[in-house]
Amino acid sequence: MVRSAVGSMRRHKMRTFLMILGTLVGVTALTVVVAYGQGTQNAVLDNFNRMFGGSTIMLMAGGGGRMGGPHADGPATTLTLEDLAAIGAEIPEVIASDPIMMLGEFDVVYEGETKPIMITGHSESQEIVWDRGATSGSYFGHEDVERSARVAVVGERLVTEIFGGMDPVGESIRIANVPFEVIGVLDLMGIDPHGVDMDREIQVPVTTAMRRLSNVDYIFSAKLSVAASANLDDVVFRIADVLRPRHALGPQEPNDFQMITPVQVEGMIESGNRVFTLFLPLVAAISILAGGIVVANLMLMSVSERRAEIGLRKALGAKRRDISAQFLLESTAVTLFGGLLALGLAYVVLLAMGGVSTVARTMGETDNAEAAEVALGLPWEVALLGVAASLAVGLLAGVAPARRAAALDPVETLR
Amino acid sequence: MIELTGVSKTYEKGSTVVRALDDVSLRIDRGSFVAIVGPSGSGKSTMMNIVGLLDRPDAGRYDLDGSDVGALSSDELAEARNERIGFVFQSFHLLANTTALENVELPLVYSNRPDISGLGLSALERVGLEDRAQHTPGELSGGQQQRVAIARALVNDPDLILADEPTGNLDGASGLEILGIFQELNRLGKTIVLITHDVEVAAMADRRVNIVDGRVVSDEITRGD
Repeated sequence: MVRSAVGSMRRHKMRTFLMILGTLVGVTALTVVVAYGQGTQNAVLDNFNRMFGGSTIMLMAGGGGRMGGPHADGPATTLTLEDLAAIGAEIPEVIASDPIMMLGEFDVVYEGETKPIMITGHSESQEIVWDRGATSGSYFGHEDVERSARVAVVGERLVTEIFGGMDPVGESIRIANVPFEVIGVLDLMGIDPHGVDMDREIQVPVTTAMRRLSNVDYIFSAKLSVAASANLDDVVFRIADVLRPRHALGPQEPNDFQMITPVQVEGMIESGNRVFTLFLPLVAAISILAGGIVVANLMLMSVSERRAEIGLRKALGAKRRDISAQFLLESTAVTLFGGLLALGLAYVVLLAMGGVSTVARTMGETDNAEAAEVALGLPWEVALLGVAASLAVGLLAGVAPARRAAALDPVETLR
Repeated sequence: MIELTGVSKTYEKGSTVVRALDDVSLRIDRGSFVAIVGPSGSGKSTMMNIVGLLDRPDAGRYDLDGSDVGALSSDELAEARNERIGFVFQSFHLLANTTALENVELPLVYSNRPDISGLGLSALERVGLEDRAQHTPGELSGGQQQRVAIARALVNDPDLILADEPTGNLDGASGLEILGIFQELNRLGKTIVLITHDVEVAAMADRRVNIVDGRVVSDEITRGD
């Protein structure tokens, strides 16, 4: 039976080729899309875990808006360094807190050359909270934060971009016309979830950012490290209990701050990635459907071309189920072969796509594509899905032709 | 042994009803060589289809080897065709691009026989084509193709060989060769039913049944053994 199916594939090379092609396109599309979506989602989750992973809480000034987005009534001005100190004092589970001032781009001048660079204010806790120290030189300390020191730690990519590749520790730069001394180079970090290249920023003490660069007495946000044993939701409630009286909020008033935990973040990523997990696989499924229709039509063609053969087989003793089994076997063998070819093709396509910045493209614009490279492969469960899809195409596309073949009357077909 | 009793078969062709067989009764003994002769449209092909278990009569009864085949399901009919009947067709009906041996072995694909190795080759030997086993039909002459078809009919060792105009597509010499094979098979005990419109071909058989308009009009022994 198997041999006769293979023989029939050999006898009708063109038709077999077209059937393989029909399966190939659909299954390749499916496996590439699913593997790509999975790879991207994993990369984004990895990225998030690196940024907000573990037992951490992001605390942001302003209520209502989402993740520090633009607020209609200007920046929220209620979150202060003193709030963080109070949280640290009243909630022992909060091990450390890093205040964050995302100032945006400032003109940075080094030896007469000006470049717009992202400036961020942090405290010395950054080293612990983000697990990010300095590769060369050192990160700034508590004292630098205390006295608003004009010191800066620069991202790895700026070493080449500004300092021509030489170790910048000890060099002088001007940020918004304020002179700073470079005291360290930051550990590599990659692209943050908003598409900001964190290896292209300059970090300065948060107090320096507040007083010398922007002249405000509030902070934008903070990242809090919480003891691993603590219940994050519980800590979130207790932080609110600390902050609400400090901000003099009445019982009816909403919070003027918000908190996000890693659990919430993952949910957000998943909903943001629907295009990969839902929409594109749907498109791929449609292309598989189209491939299946092609296969079914070619098989029907095959049945009407081979009426005499079918009649002969019946005359020689083939039962209805022998005939339908033969045609199902033929369509399945062809689509399975096409599916295996598709896996090979998908693998090549994914390798080629691995060099393209996927995180950057999904999460936002950046000109630092290579920093966001994603390791794309063909996971075995996706390969299995491809094989299952090609089998399903073969079986489903083969059913109608097989039924038609089995129903043929040898008396009619043997004339 | 074949026994038809009052068998009728009608077809509807558009609005007209064609009476292909009209109350035919016929008995063909085991080991006989019978020619069924008639002009085209006489009903002899319908006769072949019914005798070959490819079609069922509308009325009447068909006993094959003493049992009524009207009671058999279509799967049982397929099994009976596979085991008890060998078919030879006018246009050979060999699978193209498939070797002679694979063509001969085709009935074995649907057979329940436990040991089928070597049967294909020995069937080819019986028609003298064992040296052409790996040739495809395109590489064989018409006479050789029909011999392959006969080997296919023999591979399951059936008692009955049904041949429908087996020489219709062959030249005179090849046709005679084929008919010689049938005579030889008959001598070895096979029942041969030969359907033809050609009186000379029919003369090779021991008995000639003439059919006109679906009725048996004459039935004569042409050669006594």
